[in-house]
Amino acid sequence: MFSHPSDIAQRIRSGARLLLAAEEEVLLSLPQGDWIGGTIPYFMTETGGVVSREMVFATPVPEQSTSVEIRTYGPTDIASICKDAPENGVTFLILPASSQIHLEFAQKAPDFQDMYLKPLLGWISGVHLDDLGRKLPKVVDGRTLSAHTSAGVAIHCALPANQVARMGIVNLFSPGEGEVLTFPDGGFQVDRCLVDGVERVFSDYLLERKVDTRLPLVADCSGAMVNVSFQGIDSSRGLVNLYAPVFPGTDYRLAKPVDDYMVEFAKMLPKDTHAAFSCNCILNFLYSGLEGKITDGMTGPVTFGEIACQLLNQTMVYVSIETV
Amino acid sequence: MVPGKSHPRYRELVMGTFSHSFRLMPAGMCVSRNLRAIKLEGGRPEIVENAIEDVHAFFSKYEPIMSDDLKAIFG
Repeated sequence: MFSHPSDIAQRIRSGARLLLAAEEEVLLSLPQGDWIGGTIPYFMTETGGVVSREMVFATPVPEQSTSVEIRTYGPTDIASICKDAPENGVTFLILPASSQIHLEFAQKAPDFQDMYLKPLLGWISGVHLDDLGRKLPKVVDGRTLSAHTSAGVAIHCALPANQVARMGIVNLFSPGEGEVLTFPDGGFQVDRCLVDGVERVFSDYLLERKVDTRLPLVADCSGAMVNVSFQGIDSSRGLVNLYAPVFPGTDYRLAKPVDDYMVEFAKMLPKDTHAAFSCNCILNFLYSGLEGKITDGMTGPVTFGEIACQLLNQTMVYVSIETV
Repeated sequence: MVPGKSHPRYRELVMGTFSHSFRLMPAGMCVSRNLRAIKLEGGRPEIVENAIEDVHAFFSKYEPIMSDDLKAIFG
């Protein structure tokens, strides 16, 4: 729910366990309690996409949770996050954008112990775009009101045996018909690629093809469409900067264009799903003009990256809790 | 009931000789991670066995919410 800080403060004092998103000053004005938060002033609310430096988006941890544990993680212990998670449950993680832990998680998460076996989702905190370079994205541990620029904060929620967390994504992008792109070296910054097996300088290839870099690279991971978005092309250095790492051994294609985000989103929205949490990407918010538009039933922070097991870009992530 | 690890379809899935587009998103990521590992590290028996173990563990845990996927894979 999108609320005034005083309302959230009251909920915290009454013992609510919350995932919060707001500007840093707002988060740090809240009382101590069982909450974690990340900085961001962009939100998808019940009444549409909003930019606000004053309000808070609060998502209660799943009401079915039998216990919750808040933990902070640094670059050296983030690899244990799934191992630390309850056998049956869901873990929410917030990482500050552009930090070492963001990079560490992005590049190594697929190989973390128990990854995929235990549901892990969350988001990358950010700042107002006017504040880029002046303020750092942060996460906040509500128990101590400590803000971190280089650590992540997580809340592990245990679920009863008859409940299971189903994670999903809504990704409007799919691989186009063009060449297969592979990357001998993984990472957020790429120089070379193989285009249908032929080595090229990636920036030259993109510039020659006049590629619309608002469209991501897409890898079809056995049905899970994983995007990697373009941050920019540094043609003088022959480098392409990305918002998520590419992985060697994975086939990517440039995405097909999407005509109308809202129309396609409505088509892809899972029916009869009650999302316990969702978040959407700042690039979708910007490129598809989501301010003022309603993404039916899917509300939450607008983020600098989404986490559904691994780091994603230009994707809406959600989780629902189902009885089995 | 999820078939045991000796079912040949597991090997086909992780070797990429049988492909399936999973409806359950983390299942696709799990299989994809193992496909990538085998592609990069080669199809050594221990790598393939680890991959089968990983996918079988996932299927066993999430059987209640991936019946459509399991039916498509194992019949």
